Amino acid sequence: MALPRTRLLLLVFLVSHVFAAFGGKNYYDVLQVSKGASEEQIKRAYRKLALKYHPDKNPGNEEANKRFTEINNAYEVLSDREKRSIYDRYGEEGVKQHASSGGRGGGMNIQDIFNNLFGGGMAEEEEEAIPKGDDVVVELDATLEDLYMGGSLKVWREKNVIKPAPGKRRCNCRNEVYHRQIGPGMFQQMTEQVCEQCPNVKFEREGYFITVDIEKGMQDGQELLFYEDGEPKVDGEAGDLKFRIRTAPHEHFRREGNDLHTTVTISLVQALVGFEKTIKHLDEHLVELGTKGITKPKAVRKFKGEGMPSHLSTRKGDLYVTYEVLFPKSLTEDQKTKIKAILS
Amino acid sequence: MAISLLALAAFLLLGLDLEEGSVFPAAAAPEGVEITYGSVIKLMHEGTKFRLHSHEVPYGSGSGQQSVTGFPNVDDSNSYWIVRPMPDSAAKQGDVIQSGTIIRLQHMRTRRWLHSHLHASPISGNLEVSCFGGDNESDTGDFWRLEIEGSGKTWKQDQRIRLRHVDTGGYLHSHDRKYTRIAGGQQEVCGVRDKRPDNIWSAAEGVYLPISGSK
Repeated sequence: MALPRTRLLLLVFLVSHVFAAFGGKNYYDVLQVSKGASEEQIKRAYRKLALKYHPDKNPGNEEANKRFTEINNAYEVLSDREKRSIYDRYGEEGVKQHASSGGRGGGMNIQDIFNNLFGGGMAEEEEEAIPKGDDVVVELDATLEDLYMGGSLKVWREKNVIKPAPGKRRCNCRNEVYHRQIGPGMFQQMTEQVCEQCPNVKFEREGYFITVDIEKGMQDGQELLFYEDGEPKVDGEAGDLKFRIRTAPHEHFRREGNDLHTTVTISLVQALVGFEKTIKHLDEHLVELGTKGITKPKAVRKFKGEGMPSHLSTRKGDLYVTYEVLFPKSLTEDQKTKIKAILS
Repeated sequence: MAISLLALAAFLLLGLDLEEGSVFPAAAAPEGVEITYGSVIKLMHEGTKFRLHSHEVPYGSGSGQQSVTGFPNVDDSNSYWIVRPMPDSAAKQGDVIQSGTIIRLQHMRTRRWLHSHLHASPISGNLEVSCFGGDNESDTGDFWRLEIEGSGKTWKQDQRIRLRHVDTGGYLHSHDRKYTRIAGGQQEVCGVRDKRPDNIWSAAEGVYLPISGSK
């Protein structure tokens, strides 16, 4: 192959291209249209996606809000013939330069584009229900360590995606009503199925890694949603992939809500005269369990703030330690005499 | 974007060291990732390319339990099965599965177990394979022994395997015998005691959980 330096440059180019494709996201992929899509197709795709990810419909959902911004950015460029042709040839960078060198007057801002298409405000639901593919729900056991400190899992997702195929197929079929004249002034109402012609499609298997982030303090039953990573749907949108969290059993600790429970065993001597003892917490920090006083069997001590973190706040639950006391199996007569003397 | 990914993959093949964790352009060659407990998979019949499938439709004969069929389409979530160990086993999520292990397959949507017993299958009169029980109800009729075809030791995606029912000795089997009325277009899945090419299945699409201990 070429010189090592040329190779390196080529690699950097490819990697940046990939990153540009990923990080900045290809506008055509964001709007889910092909590069050769007509303006009408782009407009329709934008309408569908903008409605779905609009902040009013997804209050507090960061992922949806991020996508909404991406969708609007993509449409701003692809809906403008000049910007689109610059993007096709020079990518996002080209469009940015064109804008900064005083391209066409200012361009429209997000609100304008949206209002133009939807006539100001989203009062009610849009007519057509968009068919959605099946959802896939996976129960995920999370270790107590991951739920305490946060963690992530790399999951391999293999599914089918819709790809273009040669030829045409029927699509967007609907029943149309029309009137046929069967005599003077007499009409009969008929229905007929009318379909459009669309490019043919086929399914192809594709696999990729998904990073599932387990956040500190997540509760059992909480779901992590991956939009449209479920089952595909022809002429519709793919279903979602959901991971349902479940706390995995732990060797030492038991979780109850935001509290942790554990049991330690001490000897009779320690119970009577006091002791020093530490246990390792989930992130390996030590908790002092000892005392100078007397510990009754099955006594429970609360250690405030040593429980599980709460999911959305900085508060922490508590750790409850139960002390089991080991009694000797038997005592010699001599021991009994001495003990009686001390404890009477 | 696909082209740049393909070029990048080609570049990787030319032996340049890069961080992993990016997207692979297509499924890996002959065998894929390891299958671990907790993974949710689709099982594809090698002979007919149909997928193991169940739905809330009972058999009209035999046990009358929920039916299990071979399904032609690839986009239905009723073809997903969760890979589970035997009850009370020490195995946990993320453990790999050796050839010869007894496993259970739980239908994702209805929570029932892939099951077989001494009833006749509706079309061919072999052993009936049904879907039975629930999250808290399972018996030895749900036990299937994994038999990997070839020299593989642990179960991997796209690997040729057989599933042998422990109680009856029947291999999970399918063939080109289709239902005509209810479940039209779907084909029969049954248990057959002899080893035959039509007992071969492989794990296809799914959500594959990573091996525990690796992140």
